[in-house]
Amino acid sequence: MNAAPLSPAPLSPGPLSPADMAAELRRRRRGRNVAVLVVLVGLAVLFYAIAVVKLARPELGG
Amino acid sequence: MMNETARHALSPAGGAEVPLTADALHADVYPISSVGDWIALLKPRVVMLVVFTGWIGMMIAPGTLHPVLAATAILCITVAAGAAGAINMWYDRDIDLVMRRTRNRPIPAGRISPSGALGFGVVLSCGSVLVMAVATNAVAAALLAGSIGFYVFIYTMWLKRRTAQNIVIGGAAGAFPPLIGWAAVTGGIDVLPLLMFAIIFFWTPPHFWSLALWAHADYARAGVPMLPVVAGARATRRQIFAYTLVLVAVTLAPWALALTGPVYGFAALALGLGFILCSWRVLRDRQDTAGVSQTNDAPARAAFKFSIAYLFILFAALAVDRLVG
Repeated sequence: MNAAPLSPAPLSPGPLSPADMAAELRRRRRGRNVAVLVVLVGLAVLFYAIAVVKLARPELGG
Repeated sequence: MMNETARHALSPAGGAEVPLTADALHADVYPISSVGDWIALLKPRVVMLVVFTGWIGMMIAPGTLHPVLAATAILCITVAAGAAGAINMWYDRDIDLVMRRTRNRPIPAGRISPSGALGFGVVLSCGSVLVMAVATNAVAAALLAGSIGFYVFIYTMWLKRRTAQNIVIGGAAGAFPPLIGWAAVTGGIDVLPLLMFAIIFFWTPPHFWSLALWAHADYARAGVPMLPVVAGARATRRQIFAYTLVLVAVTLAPWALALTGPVYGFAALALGLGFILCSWRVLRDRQDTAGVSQTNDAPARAAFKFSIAYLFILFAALAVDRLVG
């Protein structure tokens, strides 16, 4: 498979030093961890809210 | 296993400055996906239209749904549409790599692994259907599952690479959201949401074929039998015009059947005339004997842009009509 035209757009186009790359990897890993945390907390809140609505107002779609 | 280039490029102790090449990010090395890459996997721009039509289906449905449950239903439609897009990207990663328009997507660009994308899509698909069932009802959840299945199995895996009618039949996948929104509120389906389904169904061919007219080289290179590739530009222009006429007739049906008021009716009429004009320009585009556009497909590009605004405004008019009616 020809991989020549590939260019990972979000990265800077020029060469990265190992230190820059390590920092970039840390930044992205932290970003993903925060995103997973937000999703998990969001799901917990969502399920709580659905449960409350279903129990309290069954006539509104419960 | 990382290849040597990648190991060197990604090692903080790798020594001298190393260019981060595509090779370093490809094959079995996927170390640097960002949150944005995972969001890109969900095709957010496509999802916007899907969510909007689902929301309108919910808005105009008779009955009430608690705002929390309504928001949850919209979230489920959003996530399900994105998940189907992620599975589509997993399956189409070979042709995405060949097409200029798609080669920078996260999988062909090597930022997300195919198996990671598939797992992401499957988990989100199952999760969205289950939450929809819990928050609303089984009918809405079944329709949501049906829309995902239709997009993945019928369109992506079966039709897309086999027939020029791929987006005609496959367009049904994108037409589900108003039905889902309506079902989330009422627990069933009715004539009006079925007409909304038909509107999106008949809107899809002129919308996609307008795009395919100027992007057909990409599709040809990837071996995707889009209509311009298989039947030529001239036949595609005729089909765009014919489907636009059918679409406009279908959009007037809710008004003709007294399911909506004059606000929607006049909007459908005005927008329809605009779309017919766009399609007429596509049909009459200056072209050579082989049907190749001499205007860089300017009318097709304009028709593509108009078609997006068309559907947004048409469905917005439906909601406004219901509010004032």
